[in-house]
Amino acid sequence: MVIKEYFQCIFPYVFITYLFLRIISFKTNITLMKTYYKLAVFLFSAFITFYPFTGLSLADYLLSLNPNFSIGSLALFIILLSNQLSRRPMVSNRHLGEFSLWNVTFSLFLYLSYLGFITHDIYPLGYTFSIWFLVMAFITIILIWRGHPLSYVFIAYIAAFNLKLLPSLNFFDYITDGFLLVISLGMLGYLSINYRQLNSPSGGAAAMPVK
Amino acid sequence: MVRAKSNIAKITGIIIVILLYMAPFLDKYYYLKDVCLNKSSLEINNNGEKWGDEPPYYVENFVNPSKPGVMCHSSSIVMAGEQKILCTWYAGSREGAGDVAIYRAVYQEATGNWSEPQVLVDRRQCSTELRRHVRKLGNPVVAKDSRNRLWLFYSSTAFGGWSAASLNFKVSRDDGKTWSASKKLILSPFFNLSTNVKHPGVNLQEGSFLLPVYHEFINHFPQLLLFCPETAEPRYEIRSITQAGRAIQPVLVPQGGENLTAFFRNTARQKEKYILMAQSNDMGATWSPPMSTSLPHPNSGLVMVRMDDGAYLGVINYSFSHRENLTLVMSRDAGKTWDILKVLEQGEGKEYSYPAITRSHRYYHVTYTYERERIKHLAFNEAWLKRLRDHGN
Repeated sequence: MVIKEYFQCIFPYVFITYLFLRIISFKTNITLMKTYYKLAVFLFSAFITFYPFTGLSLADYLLSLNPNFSIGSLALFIILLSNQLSRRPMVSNRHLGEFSLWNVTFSLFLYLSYLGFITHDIYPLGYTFSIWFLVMAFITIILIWRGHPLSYVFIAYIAAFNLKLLPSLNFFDYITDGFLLVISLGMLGYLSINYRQLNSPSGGAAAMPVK
Repeated sequence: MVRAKSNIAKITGIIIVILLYMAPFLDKYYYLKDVCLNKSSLEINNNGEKWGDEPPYYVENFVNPSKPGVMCHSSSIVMAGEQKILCTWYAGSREGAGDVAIYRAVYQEATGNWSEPQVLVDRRQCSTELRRHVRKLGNPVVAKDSRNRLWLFYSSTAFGGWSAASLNFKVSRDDGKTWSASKKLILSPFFNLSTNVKHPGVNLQEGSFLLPVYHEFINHFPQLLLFCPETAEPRYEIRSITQAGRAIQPVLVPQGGENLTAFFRNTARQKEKYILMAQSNDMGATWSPPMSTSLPHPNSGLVMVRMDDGAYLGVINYSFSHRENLTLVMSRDAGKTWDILKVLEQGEGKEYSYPAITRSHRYYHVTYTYERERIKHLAFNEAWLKRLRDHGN
């Protein structure tokens, strides 16, 4: 229970830190920043995220809008944050595109089924073991066998579900959430605009323009 | 050599994945088998007591005093201790206003008096307890489980209208004297939109219960929440009752065994619509498609209860277009035909709505919104109903 309370605060922190770094990246090259500058950004971001300015912190407000940020959301922003900080991106644009496509496809399928636009509502099958767990296990095994970097995210889904790290009790809420759908749609839009970069010989090494 | 190492890493990864997916498998088929979510261990908790031969009894009074500029709505009632009834409702300057709070009052059957209303939870308290922004509070529902704990479920929104509502709960182990801090339920995959509640549910064995709830974002449909508080942290599962039609605010009526009947508020757009009804023979796992009853319906709250002889007793707005009457109806043929027993309220341009009903050891207790200014309470016994049935209004 205590772990859950703290764990759900990680996403707002990662998200706000990423936004800070994006703003800073317009002015300076983050990868060339001194370590203590980076540390200062992280500390300032922690203060902004968790200080209760109006009785509630920014993290509380973010969690009010979306009370269950999925492992998918957390993974995506850890990847984006890492790509901001490192000269060698953790995940390429191509793999980010694949991840976004997976998020959009799965989210739309889940929401359409939940809202009754598909006859079969899969959401109740996420509370306890069902055929969909086997499907996810199968996809994860394929990704591991192919050495896909996103296999770690798929392992994190089920590991976090077993540890009950999120407020939701439903496995599908560990995979996706409404915020991730919106961001993933934006990512797909961004990546499709930069399609040429994606098809470059380097495979689009930088996930986002890194200065 | 490198390839061999890579293959070993992959095989290790696959073994880890298999082990990770074994955990929910074992949880379901071994651990949960002995806990409450296993359907085969669930039975309806028949709490009904046979009433003796008493003279007809009927009394009416108000739960709360009328105050200028104060609206109140959406009452809920439950037995809370020996000969005590707890009523909850929300009140404030207008529906959805920031000053709306959830109130409670206690009725003593022995004296026939209601206690002074007290705030059970307001927006600020809710926000503090949840550590979340709360824009407004909505429907409260109070229910008692088979282990005599009282549960308050209530809706709140962080933004938007009622279609952005989500559910919170509090629990009391001392008949409503003290309550736990509020906790939020995550019941929808999309920003936790939108789950609301109107009626208490059906008790199951071992303290679990089925709570009828409903969804109103993009599509309108009723849902069933299986709530199991016996584990260290409450477990719950939500599933749709039906996604056909525009049925909301389900009322569950247990029929014995694993049979349930549900009645629904009908939000269809046609002018002349009727109260909807569906059946389940497997504790709500699957449902028949909702069918119209012969009861006219103005898209308003309704309540139904099953009597000892199997008849359905309902309190409804008997109209296609307005909430100007509140009527007691009864069906003795499983909802095929209905008789009007008594028009409880009638007033042109007035509103009498959102009834709630519970049964104590001696009486039926009904509360409802009276002209949006007060909550009115009726108490009557089966002998009074029998007299209405035999001799008319």
